[in-house]
Amino acid sequence: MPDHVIRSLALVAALGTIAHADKDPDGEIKLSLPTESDRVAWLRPGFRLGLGIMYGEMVGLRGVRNGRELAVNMHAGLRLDADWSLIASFKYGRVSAANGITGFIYSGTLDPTWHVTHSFSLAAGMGFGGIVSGRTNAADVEPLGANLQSGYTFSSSNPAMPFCDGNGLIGVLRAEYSWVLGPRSSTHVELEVVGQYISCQDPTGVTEPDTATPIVRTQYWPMTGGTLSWGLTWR
Amino acid sequence: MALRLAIAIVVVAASVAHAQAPSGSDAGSAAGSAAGSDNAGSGSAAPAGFVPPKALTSTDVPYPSTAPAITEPLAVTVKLRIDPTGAVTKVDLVTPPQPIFDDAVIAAAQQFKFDPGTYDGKPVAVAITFTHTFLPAPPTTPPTNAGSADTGPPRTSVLRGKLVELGTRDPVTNASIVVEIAGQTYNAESDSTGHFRIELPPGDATVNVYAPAHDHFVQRETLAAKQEVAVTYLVARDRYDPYEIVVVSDQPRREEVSRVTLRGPEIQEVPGTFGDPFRVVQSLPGVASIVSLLPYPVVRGASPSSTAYEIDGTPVPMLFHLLAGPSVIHPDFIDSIQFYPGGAPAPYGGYTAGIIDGTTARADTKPMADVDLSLLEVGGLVREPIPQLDATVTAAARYGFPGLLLSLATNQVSLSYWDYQLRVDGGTKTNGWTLFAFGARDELDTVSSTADPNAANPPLSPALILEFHRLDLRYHQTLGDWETTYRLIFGYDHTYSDDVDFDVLSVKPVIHSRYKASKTLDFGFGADGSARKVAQDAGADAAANPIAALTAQLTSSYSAGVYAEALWRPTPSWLIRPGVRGDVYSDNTATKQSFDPRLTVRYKLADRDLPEIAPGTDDSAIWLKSSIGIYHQPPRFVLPEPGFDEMPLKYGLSQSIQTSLGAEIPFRYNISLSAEGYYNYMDPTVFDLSTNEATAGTSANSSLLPTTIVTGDNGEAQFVQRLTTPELGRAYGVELLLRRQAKSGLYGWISYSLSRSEREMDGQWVPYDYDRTHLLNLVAGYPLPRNWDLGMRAQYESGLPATTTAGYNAGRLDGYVRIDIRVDKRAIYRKWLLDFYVDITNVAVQPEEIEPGFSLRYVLPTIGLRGRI
Repeated sequence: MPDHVIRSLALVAALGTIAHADKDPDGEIKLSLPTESDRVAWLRPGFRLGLGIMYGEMVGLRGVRNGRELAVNMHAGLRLDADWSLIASFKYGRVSAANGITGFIYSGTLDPTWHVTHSFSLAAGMGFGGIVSGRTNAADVEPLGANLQSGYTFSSSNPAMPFCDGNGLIGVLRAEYSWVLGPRSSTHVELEVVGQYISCQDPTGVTEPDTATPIVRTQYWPMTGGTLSWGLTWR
Repeated sequence: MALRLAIAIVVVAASVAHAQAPSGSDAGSAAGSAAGSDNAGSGSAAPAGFVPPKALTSTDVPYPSTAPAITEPLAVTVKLRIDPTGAVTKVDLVTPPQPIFDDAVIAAAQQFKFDPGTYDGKPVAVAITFTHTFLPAPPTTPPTNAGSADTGPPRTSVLRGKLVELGTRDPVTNASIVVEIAGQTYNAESDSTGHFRIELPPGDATVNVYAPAHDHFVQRETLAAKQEVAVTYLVARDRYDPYEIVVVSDQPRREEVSRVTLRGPEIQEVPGTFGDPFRVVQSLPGVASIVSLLPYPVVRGASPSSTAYEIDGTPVPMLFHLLAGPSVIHPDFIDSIQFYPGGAPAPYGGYTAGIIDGTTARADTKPMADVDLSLLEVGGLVREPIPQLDATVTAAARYGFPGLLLSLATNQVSLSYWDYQLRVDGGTKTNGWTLFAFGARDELDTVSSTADPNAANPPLSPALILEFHRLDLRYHQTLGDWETTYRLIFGYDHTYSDDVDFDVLSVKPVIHSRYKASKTLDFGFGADGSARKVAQDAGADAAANPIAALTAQLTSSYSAGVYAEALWRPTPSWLIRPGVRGDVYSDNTATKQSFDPRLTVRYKLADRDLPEIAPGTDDSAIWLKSSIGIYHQPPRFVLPEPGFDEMPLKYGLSQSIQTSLGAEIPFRYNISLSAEGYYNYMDPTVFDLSTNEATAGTSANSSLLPTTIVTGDNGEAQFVQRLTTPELGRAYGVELLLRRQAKSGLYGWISYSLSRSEREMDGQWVPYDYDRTHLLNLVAGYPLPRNWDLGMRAQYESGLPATTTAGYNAGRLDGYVRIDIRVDKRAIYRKWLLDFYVDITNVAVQPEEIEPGFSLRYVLPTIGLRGRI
């Protein structure tokens, strides 16, 4: 972006600020003092939004390869009372490993959350999750896609296909510790354990000419893993 | 692979690029224009020239004698409808039930008298929110010292000042100021300017402020004897809702059969639209898509080039930036979206399918500035009145640099764009002028053809440049019962692609006039024209490039159109709108004429007695509605680009005959249902977007263009022949729209379309390439306390037809489901507002099969920030 464009926009914004400043002749300007403590405010029912980053390991089971994940997550939900919340959690990120899976991962779960103390909570959730364009450097497995005239489903995940694109069920257990930063924001760290079962599809790019149905190979991948995350929450 | 490449760019670029500012204008401030008196009464933006109502009587509510004592302040919020005389005609409870207190507030509110809200000096009906906070009994036994009869210590100090709303700087009126000193309380009330003054004894004071619709405020002051302390307290509102004040027309009129009007949060807070008003249309009935991300709608089964994107009734050559980019007009310029899936009235010409018209409003005279910032674009908007000119200037600009993010994924492609708008509004709404200049430029760079194929960082060169500029000069005049708008629009369009340069200079004069002959009869007249000079780069090689071959002969074109219509209400139950339009198109290849008669009829079947709607209005009635009309358009390229839109007239005009029949039924809780059936006959349609294989193959067509343009020995001729051969088409279906409009609380709609679009092929009707049988959309938004807003959109579209061994388009791809969510938060600071939002498009990463054997899976998480002064 040209510097002069940036400068012009900044100038425009600054001029707007100056133009609307006033002297407040009625006296010193004051905001309200807190009407309740921050900790009490965070116990009140209401909406919460959390954003964070997470790092962890996906562990493939029954022949499925592993991967290291780096993702962003979002928690959006309601604090129901001092003890319980109902949170929807979403995660989007990348999984990669030299000899493992590389691709885009995602999940979404609904997590009832129990606030054991003011700062510590436990959650268990279920939802969806999957991989987009997951690849490994493993050798392809029979039957090869090029030889198929119709769709094929593997009976086992071992040996695993070198490609996975699909979604499935995911379960999450989460422990969180949070610190209140102020009436509007808090920060937290989370430890999460996940288990997922993905219906992987490997499309051949070819369709059955009679039905236009895509010819794909399907394999079910069981995976587990754990992540550590840090984030901010607003109320 | 062109399509796959494009989609990959879309996914990567859009993931961050569209952190466009969400909704918004100052809380409770005037913004936008009056809700149209000629529509469904759906207005939800405070308009320019709008002055809110002021209370003439006390708005205090006595503590109910039968109520139990409370220990904390208890707030009751109601929605008041205030008629043009200032009387409260309706009170609706907003907060959860608290029976005794609710009854007290409702009873008191019904007796309030207001100086009515006005729009440009004329009283209008207005809906406002009113909150009364009941306070707990004073904590001390001594009597309250509110008057001059004072038994406490001598009051030798004074606390005076002003209550100002945090963020908006508006005065906080009729607030209770309760001061506690040494166990005694003293009361005062702020006046109509927010000022207060209270005499107090010296000492340490705790000042509490309780104001309707505002948060509890607490501050401590130390008062010395004979000291006067001046303060300005910034009091936060309990909710900053830019759409809270709703101007509601007394007698909203319905004039068209199929128009849907969207306003306020409906156009700026719908998930999956990046806050872009024009994208919201893709959630309405009858609107399918070629690919869910791309802003090319298939309206009632017509090719995308048959649907107009317009600003104030004038088509714009490019409404969106490339791929999944935002629209080229800052959302704050758009007051409402008028969407006609069919049956558009006579003033609209030149298109044979839908009309999507973004209407702008005269600028509010309140100064403001805002800045948008994201990882991939920066922009801002400034509005400032100029008293010397009796005018208001609004300027906006944006620069997008998604190439930065793209560079993380690939060094083969880069993209950048910018747009600007400058608007000056002078005079008044009835006799005023407007200068509106706007334009945009997009540049997509790919690896240069001369680059070393083995280079690690190959040089990039422009592969596609789209650019346009418009200067729209308007003058609006009111003489008695005549209202006339004169416009002169100058344009420059430029498209560069594959070594082909198109430059088009244009001028377009427009006159619209409306004459109110009586209370039951209006006449509308108008004329418009255009002159276009086309310059095609001399280097274009028509023999080698099929696109150049299409337009090689085109050097200039002209058009002229006139229309006349009447809006006749012979009885309160009938509304008849006949109209006729005639156009002449001419270029150096041919001259064509068209004649388009159109008729819309509405019949009020019955009035419903609904507590939320004023009786006797169009909104409270059950309507039957029907339309029939003929529509023509010059040949237009399959996907419009600046300058590269109108094709040579030798290919002939497209024509459609549109008919529809439906009903509208209002229900309680501001819910309405519209059901409409339609039948459109296209005779002929040319330049239909068509991509499917003619016969079944085993490999996918990976291009948006027909296979013949990609392969084949005689690709150019086949391509031109396929696009330019006139076809017969027909589309029919049923559309349902169940909608709750955004006055308070939950808003949104459920839309469903059951439709079929076909083209005749070898004497048989076969599905159109972009026919989708079922279209289902659920859009919902809900405001929460503490300035949170939640939104959700769920969409299902049937799969596209596909060619199989059974014949052309005999099969179908899989349908797709997409769920989008959005969270908005508004933070209020001393003098400015900060909007923040998270918008996730396709949250579940559901696949969309866009061609046989190839599915697209994407998710677009976006974060946006916007500061506003």
